[in-house]
Amino acid sequence: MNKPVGFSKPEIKGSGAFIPPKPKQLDKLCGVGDYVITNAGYVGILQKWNSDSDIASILSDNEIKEITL
Amino acid sequence: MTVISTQARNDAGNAIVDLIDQGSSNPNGYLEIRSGTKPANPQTGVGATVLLATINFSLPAFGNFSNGVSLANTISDDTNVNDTGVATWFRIYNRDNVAIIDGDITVTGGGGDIEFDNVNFITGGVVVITSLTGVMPE
Repeated sequence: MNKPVGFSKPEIKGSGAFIPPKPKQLDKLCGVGDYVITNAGYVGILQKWNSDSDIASILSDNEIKEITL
Repeated sequence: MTVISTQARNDAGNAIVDLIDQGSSNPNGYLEIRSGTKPANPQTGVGATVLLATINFSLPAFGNFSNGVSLANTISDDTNVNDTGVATWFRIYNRDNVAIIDGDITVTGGGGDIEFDNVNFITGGVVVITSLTGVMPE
């Protein structure tokens, strides 16, 4: 019975960098998904506006932060 | 254990990376960076995974293998990331949009085939591949 012969497997190896865009100043004109910076210096992705209030939630460093404008 | 000669390593490696240059629909092969779960193999569709960035190769994409190793020729940056998400895998296509190679992406030190300093991509950002090497082991 023939025994199968295995060959080495080719590989692709690499490295890279991600440079985030310049964040927008957080204000009421910003929309969900925008990359924003608050007056307090928190930087992250706008998750939601809390309805009829001046409170926004952003995701920063994997943490939701509520921001009052 | 099977061991192949350096000549065999080089020829096998060249045969694989030369596939990236095949086709005529696009000026060059390219690499897509996606979020979600990597499919089982390049024959499997991308499914619901999300395209975050596209990196274009030169033509040819890679130099000739030497001692079982080949460096990619100049790779373009993606200066406007498509979507926000966590980069988890990549797929390399030839010039006719045929998938050739899939691989994992992790943060630096995570053991991925391509490691990024930051895998949390954000719409509008810039993606740079700083090195890309093909390796055909013995």
